[in-house]
Amino acid sequence: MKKNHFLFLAAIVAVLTSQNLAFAGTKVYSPNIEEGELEVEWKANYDLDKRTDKDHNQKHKYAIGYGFTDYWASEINLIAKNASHTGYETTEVEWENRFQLTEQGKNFADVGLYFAVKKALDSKKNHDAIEGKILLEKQMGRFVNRANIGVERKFRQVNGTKAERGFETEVLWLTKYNWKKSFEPGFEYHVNFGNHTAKDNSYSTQKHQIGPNIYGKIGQFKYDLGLLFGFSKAAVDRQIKWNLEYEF
Amino acid sequence: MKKLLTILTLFYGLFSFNAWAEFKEYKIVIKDHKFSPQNLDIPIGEKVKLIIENQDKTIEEFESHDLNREKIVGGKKSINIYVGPLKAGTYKYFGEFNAATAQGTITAK
Repeated sequence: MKKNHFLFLAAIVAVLTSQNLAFAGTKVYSPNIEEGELEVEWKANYDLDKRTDKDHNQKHKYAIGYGFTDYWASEINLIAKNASHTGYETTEVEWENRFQLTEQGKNFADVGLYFAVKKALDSKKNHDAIEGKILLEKQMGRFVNRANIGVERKFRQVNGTKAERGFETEVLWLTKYNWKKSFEPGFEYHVNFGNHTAKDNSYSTQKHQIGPNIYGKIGQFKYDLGLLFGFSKAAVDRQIKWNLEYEF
Repeated sequence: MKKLLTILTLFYGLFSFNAWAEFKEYKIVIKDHKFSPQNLDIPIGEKVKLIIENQDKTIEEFESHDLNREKIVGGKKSINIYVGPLKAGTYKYFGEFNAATAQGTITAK
């Protein structure tokens, strides 16, 4: 590995570990794997809302990942949050895996699977969880369309309280225009349907967000920046999101 | 449960649709860090299969922003890349590990 890669990695780690923001990034994953790709990534959200308990909440994922084969990539994440009422704290370690199931472009759509295991760092505060997603991608001319359909199940007790029964489900959608390598405009739509066992699963309890997004690759640096607007009652008013990635 | 079964059925449909279709095949050879043929003509509006054969000992990465494809091809190995259907035009690609010499185009006409 070149010397400048080590220096860049050290700088990234120094910057990320000095952040006082805890932020969980929402990324729309591709089902296609790049074999041999080693990457470090910072995924994050920052919420803006007129409700004080939701305003300025943040979630971060610091990740290192590798494409082991042309059909399997794996990633380790450290998750941290900074809620307005709890302050900054690292909350979970997560192991993510993506599996490419079809050859890119061969079928009607590209298909993959995502599976992650989340372990709480403080079992008194957070639940463990497992998450699964179906990853889909369809290219139409220069437009790339991507969907992730996911479910999450929490486990274990926290302070004597059992995790919610059932699964929490979400759908993430991305459309972008393959204009220039350094700049691809698009939009994303995110919806979290909540827990299917909840008594109230009406629209007002679901989190619907939509907004513009830009993507690109400059040298070995990839970016994904977006602004999501909530249009259901349960969603935050606005959410700034970013995924920044460096490939070795 | 019904929603889950619907999603799984849709998933299976997307996975299997077109899986057994046959496509025209075109071979691109990598030798001495160059692509051959340097320009390949393919028909417009059709999905085709590119067979990238690496005759060098070292690995190469077939990369194209125009085609939205990026794939490693090992030394002395071959890979398949599906592209299309493409509109009329010229689409560039290159070998990321030897970009100075490994350059090529695909022309849909």
